[in-house]
Amino acid sequence: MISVAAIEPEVLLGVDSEIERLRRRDPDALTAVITRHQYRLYRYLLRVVRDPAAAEDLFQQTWLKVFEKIRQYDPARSFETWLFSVARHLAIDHLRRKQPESLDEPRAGGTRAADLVAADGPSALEQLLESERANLVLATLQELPAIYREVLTLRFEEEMKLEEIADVTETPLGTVKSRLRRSLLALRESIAASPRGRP
Amino acid sequence: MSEHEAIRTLLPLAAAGALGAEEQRGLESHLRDCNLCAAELQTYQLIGQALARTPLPPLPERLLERTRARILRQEAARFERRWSDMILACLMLFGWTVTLTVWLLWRVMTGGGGLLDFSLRSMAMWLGGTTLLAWLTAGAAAILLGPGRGLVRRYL
Repeated sequence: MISVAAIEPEVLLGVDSEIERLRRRDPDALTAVITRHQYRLYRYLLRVVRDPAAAEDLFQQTWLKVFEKIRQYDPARSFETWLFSVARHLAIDHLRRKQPESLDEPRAGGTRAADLVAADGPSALEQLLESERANLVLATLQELPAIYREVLTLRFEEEMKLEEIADVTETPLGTVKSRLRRSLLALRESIAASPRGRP
Repeated sequence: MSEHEAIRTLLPLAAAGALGAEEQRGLESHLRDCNLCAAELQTYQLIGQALARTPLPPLPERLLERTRARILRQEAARFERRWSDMILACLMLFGWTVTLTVWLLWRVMTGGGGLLDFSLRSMAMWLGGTTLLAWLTAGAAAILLGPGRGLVRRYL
């Protein structure tokens, strides 16, 4: 995974010029920017909506919106967080239309921290092979509420800082930390409760 | 809440690298003496590592090309709408200019008195006539310019 810190300054300048050309509605800049972000954006949408067809449509809608509103983009803000926040708004609308699920509130049946105190210990997970562990974690992730899937994807898969997650989700930093904590608790409990998660 | 319970609540955030410096120091101090918390932290870290190592899902076929094409179609439609609005505004302005000019010439050629000398009845007739003429002019020009829009569309 490429991190911003590993990118050379010349590359960053190139990214900035791409954004500037995109603001001037240069189609070649559009192709370059989409290419740069397509995998991560698609993965984020897929994790949130859990439907490849919907994720693809939202992917296209996101870039339509970005191209339409690029002149409103503030260059002082990270383009990536702005891009993901646009995608998030579209995903929220999709989830509200298609599923009784929200990125604003956890499900009514969501796990409470108090319920997890007596969860299985680490010995069940330690016994799994690394590849099976990843598959299990991913499969279990899909069963969590959207609000948990989102924060886990942004933190661990997209490797966003907490401040960036707060920017994307338009929530305070404390809320991000709270959601991150609850989501990991829920994921751990779900893994321990799954048949594959037991020794 | 005991120190142990307080530290347990921090373990998920510790695995996510989300603790502040002071919290991290408190955690490390506690872990030196608590194997239970150390083991639980390792569990969360394994979960986090597994999440970080999930492979990127494959993109749908030609997603980039289809997305680009959809955007360009939208841009073309938007351009056409703005072009149509601009043409309509110009035609209206043209129509009014023509009718005003015709009215002025008519007054001058027929010796109809001062240019600003008119009655309410003639004013109403003038407004009605010029409005009709303006719309007819604009409509005729729009029809004549219609094929030009097709040329613009093909160019885009």
